[in-house]
Amino acid sequence: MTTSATDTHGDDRLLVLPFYIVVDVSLSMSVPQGGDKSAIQAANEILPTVIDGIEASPTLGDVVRLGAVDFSDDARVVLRLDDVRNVNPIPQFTVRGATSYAAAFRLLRQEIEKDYAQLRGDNYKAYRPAVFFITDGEPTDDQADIVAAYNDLTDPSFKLRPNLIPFGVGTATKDQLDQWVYPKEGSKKPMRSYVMRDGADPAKAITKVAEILLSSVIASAQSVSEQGSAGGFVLDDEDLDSDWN
Amino acid sequence: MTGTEVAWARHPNGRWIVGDAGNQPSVVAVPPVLVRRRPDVTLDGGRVGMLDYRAASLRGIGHLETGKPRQDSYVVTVTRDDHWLVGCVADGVSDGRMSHRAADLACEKLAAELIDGLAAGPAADLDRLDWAAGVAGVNAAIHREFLHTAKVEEAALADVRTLMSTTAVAFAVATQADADGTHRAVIASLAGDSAALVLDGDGWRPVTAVKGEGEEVASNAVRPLPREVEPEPVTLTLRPGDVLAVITDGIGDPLGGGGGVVGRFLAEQWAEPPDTIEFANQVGFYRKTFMDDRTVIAVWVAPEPT
Repeated sequence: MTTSATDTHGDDRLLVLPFYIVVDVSLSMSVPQGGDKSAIQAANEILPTVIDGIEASPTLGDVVRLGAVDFSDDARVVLRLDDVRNVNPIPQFTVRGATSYAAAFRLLRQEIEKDYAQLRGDNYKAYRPAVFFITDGEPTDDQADIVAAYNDLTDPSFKLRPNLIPFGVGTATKDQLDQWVYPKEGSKKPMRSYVMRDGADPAKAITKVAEILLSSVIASAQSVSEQGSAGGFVLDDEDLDSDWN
Repeated sequence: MTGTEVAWARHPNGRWIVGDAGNQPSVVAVPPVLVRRRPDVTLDGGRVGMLDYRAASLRGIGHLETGKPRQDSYVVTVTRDDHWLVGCVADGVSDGRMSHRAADLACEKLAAELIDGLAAGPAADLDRLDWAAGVAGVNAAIHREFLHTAKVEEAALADVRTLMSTTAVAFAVATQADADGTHRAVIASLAGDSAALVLDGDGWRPVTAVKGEGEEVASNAVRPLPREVEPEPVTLTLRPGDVLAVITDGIGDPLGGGGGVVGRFLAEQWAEPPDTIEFANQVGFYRKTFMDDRTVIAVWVAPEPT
């Protein structure tokens, strides 16, 4: 099979659904809270779980793209947005330093722009991305700085602004995390935040994030396959249990 | 087409691949759950007057994989005097468990309404068809079946749509040419994004709006029936050699405005009316990420004798 030289026409574009996992790798994430596992160890099981789930279906991998970013004092790309069938080995999150949400939001905007330019070049038509943002709270940067970076990432004029779904473990509170949801309550398709119940084990709770992410990947891919470009990201947390509020 | 590599080929299993098949050939079909007696494929073809038509509706790769029924539907038929070929394609909206029935009912009602409206045969006025009555008939039929299925006494249309809703495009084409050699035709997209295109010597030309055209980021929503809508029918004339394709978005999404590889593939395959069974195979091509049900009614106007 050869690809035609003229196969770059707008009518030729394939559909693709990008997801980003963003993980707080501040030092506090490495301390086990009750269970045997630390939050970061649990976070490191998200990518393998989700990739296994995507690979279990013949066609899910055709439409889904997965990327991963970590953040501490700065933010770094852990996995450049890609077809999960190309990911080998699966990269790890490792802890370092403090907690800068601003750095994470800024890098996300930059990566999304870069990734979508690449997707367009590769002849894909992408839906707006979904970002699963996992943190144990207590950002160490200036609130005004975080707000500025968040506003830039979710600017209505930014066509690729992501659906932003924060997951809080440890000391993160609902009030703190609701600020970083996008789109917010009251908009047409609002997203939400998730905060771990008091006394739950962060490592166990994070395991659930992988399940929500995977069921959202499946629900979203189904919406695309059934509705073509009218489909898009679907947040599916039907199996959520009492570890999360 | 000089200088253009051909970007389609047969898979060893006989299906067409257009561009990249992705992993679609490895999908194993699962029977639809809780829906009996609904074929995965329906197919028709024939000739009436100066027209050849082919129609196919295929359960999509996504529904094959997940055990859901084909939600697309079509009707293609002729008026009592054979002067008009009449048809409709409909795409049941995936969220509704009974949407395949909404699609069936929309096609049946709209085709029946067109047959009545075109009873004057060659003298029928395409600008005076009662589309509002057609929409009312569709709404009432879906509403009635909802009440029966849900075993309730009354329901608002918005509630009906949660269980059964559909898009619909209805059309009619004169089977005989007018004195100037052209065929009168009318097309109305009644809800959502099903569409119609014409293929002539210059390629594909959309007759109704093409979904998502020019949008950088994918997505938009349909406004399906049952609903109060004011249809905006388009009248047009088809010339000898033209092909009219009335489609659901399962084929509309990969085809776009027809300017890409899928448009070239179908233009080549449909230069002449194909064998009817082969037509289904042409509609069912593999193409990575496009997994929806697909339905096409294609109408060929006989070329002028040479």
